Amino acid sequence: MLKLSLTISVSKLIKQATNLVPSLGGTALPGLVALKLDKDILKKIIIKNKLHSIIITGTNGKTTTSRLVAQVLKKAKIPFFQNRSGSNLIRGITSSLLDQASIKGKLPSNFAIFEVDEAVVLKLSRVLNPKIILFNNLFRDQLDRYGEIDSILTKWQETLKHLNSKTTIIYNCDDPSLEYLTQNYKKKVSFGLSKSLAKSKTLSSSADAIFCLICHKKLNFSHIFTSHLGHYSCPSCHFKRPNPQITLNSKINSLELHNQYNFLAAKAVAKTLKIDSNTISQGLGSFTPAFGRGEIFNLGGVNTKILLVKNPTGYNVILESLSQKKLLKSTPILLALNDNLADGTDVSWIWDVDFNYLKYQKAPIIVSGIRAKDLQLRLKYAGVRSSKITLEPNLKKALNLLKKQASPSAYILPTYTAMLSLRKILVKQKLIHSTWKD
Amino acid sequence: MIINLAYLYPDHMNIYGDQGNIDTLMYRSIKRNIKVNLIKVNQNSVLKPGNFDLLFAGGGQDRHQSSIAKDLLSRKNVLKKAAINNIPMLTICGSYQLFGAYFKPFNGPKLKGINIFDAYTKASKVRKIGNIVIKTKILTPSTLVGFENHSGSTYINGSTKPLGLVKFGYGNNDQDKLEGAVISNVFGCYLHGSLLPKNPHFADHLLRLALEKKYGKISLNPLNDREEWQAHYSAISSTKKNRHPLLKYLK
Repeated sequence: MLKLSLTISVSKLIKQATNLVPSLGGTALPGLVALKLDKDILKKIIIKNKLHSIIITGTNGKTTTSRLVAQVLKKAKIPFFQNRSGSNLIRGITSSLLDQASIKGKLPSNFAIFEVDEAVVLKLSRVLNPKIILFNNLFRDQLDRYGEIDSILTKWQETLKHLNSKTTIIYNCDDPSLEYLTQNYKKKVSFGLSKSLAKSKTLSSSADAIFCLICHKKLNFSHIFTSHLGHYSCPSCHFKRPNPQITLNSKINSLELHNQYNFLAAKAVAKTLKIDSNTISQGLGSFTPAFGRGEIFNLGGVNTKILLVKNPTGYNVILESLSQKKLLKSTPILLALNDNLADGTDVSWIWDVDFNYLKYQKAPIIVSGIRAKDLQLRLKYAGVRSSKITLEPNLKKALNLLKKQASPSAYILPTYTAMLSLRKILVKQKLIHSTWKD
Repeated sequence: MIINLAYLYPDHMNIYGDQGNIDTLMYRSIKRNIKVNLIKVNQNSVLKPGNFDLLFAGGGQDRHQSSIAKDLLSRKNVLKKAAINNIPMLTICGSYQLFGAYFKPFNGPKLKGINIFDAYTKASKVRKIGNIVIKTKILTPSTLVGFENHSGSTYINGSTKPLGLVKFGYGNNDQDKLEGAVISNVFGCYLHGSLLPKNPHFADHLLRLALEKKYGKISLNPLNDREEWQAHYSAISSTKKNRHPLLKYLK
């Protein structure tokens, strides 16, 4: 008991110190130290508070889906707390628990939403024993860190084996990997899009799960939404997309594809929690974008939107949805590519992004970030006119260039650490709020 | 002029940007009014000897690598004949491994290769991940830049020569400081990145080999490669910085 209080106090002190001196490091440090002092600290707090929890994971959409679920819970007046976006490894989650706990280890509520890194779900689900695990999707992403896409799927399979039968699995059945993952699990809820929303019938070269995971034959896709998300069936065995239990209602058709999935996922969670339909639609209706994911601000008269891009599929979905709004061609864009650890140190992935969407761009494209020159070259090979491309590796100068464009609106598409740096600059210029908490 | 470009296993072996290599070979040909006939060769599709002037094969996940291994063995004669005929071929990562004698993964049986390179690969505990710069004798300038991400350690022997010497990074096995393999006009290496876009001299080398085999002595029109070399040299300088020998004391 004494040890618990001591560990919590130490982590709270470190939290104070990092608040005063931000350069001391990120949000994970208090958790990191706490785990060093007491490796079972997480378990102890969870048991003490009889904590119920929801784990939200997948390559894309974790932060926005968590935010949507939170909004519905607020409308339903269900008390809860959640971890900060981006702090989704064990130490970050420990930090956020200890931050909200009293010295004695009491949490403000016994219900929590955790956005969890794909590779950490296995470890964390054993400690948390969650009420729900939501799997959004699985795409190629940061292969320098995760190794292979298959290694994540294997970890998720392990996770399901160890769950007690009370956990509900909610999953996107348009993703063949997730249908395969959950095929023998009993307590599950599937969600998916109806075929009227399908865009294409040909698979992009970066689609991953295109083979039957049971018999290895190439899957037939009758409809494709993006990458390998679609309506599929195996030509030689029984494996196919089921009819989803939760599907889209027509009201949110105007959303971009990635947000349609995020809404659907949040709706599935809310239904599983037995929240009534009215409250769900009110909660989803009050949606505002999360940190760097569709945030809008005024850059010297230019109405500017930041859209985080992390991997080929996410990037493709954003470029496609922008190009559908006829505005893209005449709207200036700032693309920023970094190769720090949190971005992925391998920039090969930009060659899987379909930059052809920018081929007929009339407004300037500013390329920035540590690997701006790789991005410039990528655009050249996509057939983007070189007269439209301006190279400015320095993010601050690139923002100034964007500000100078005489245009009513602009887009910024940064990788993760480029987004953090850009936000820091914008906060200094008082153009956006520094709110870490969503 | 026309180049028949075979792309081996685009459905299975396409991890992280291998498409960039195909795009580059096509772009640099089309810019010079050289037609490209792209032949996608998946499992069970036909690839006849004499039907291709240049071949590319990329990397893939372990699961995909083992599912194409058997199909590759069935093409051993065709590919060996092409190698003896000096047809240029570029193999990266997973396919590079299978163009050697074998790949022994951690779990599971040995995957038999087609023995074009006198080389073998064993999975090692340390995954070799990071930016890499090598120096090669076959190109001017001599540097090649890319990104490696492999658990396999490759060892080359006999008449198979390394593609280059490692300046920064791990290379074939992190012991002998060698990277890649060359025998006649067949090249193997661990460089993603994508490799060819920011190493235009290597892309042109492959195109020249393919065209001269077919049409006799030719000279390729120079292209404006400003962006290519900017990316090449900035990758070298950032690799240098990140791999500075003193950095390990700071971590």
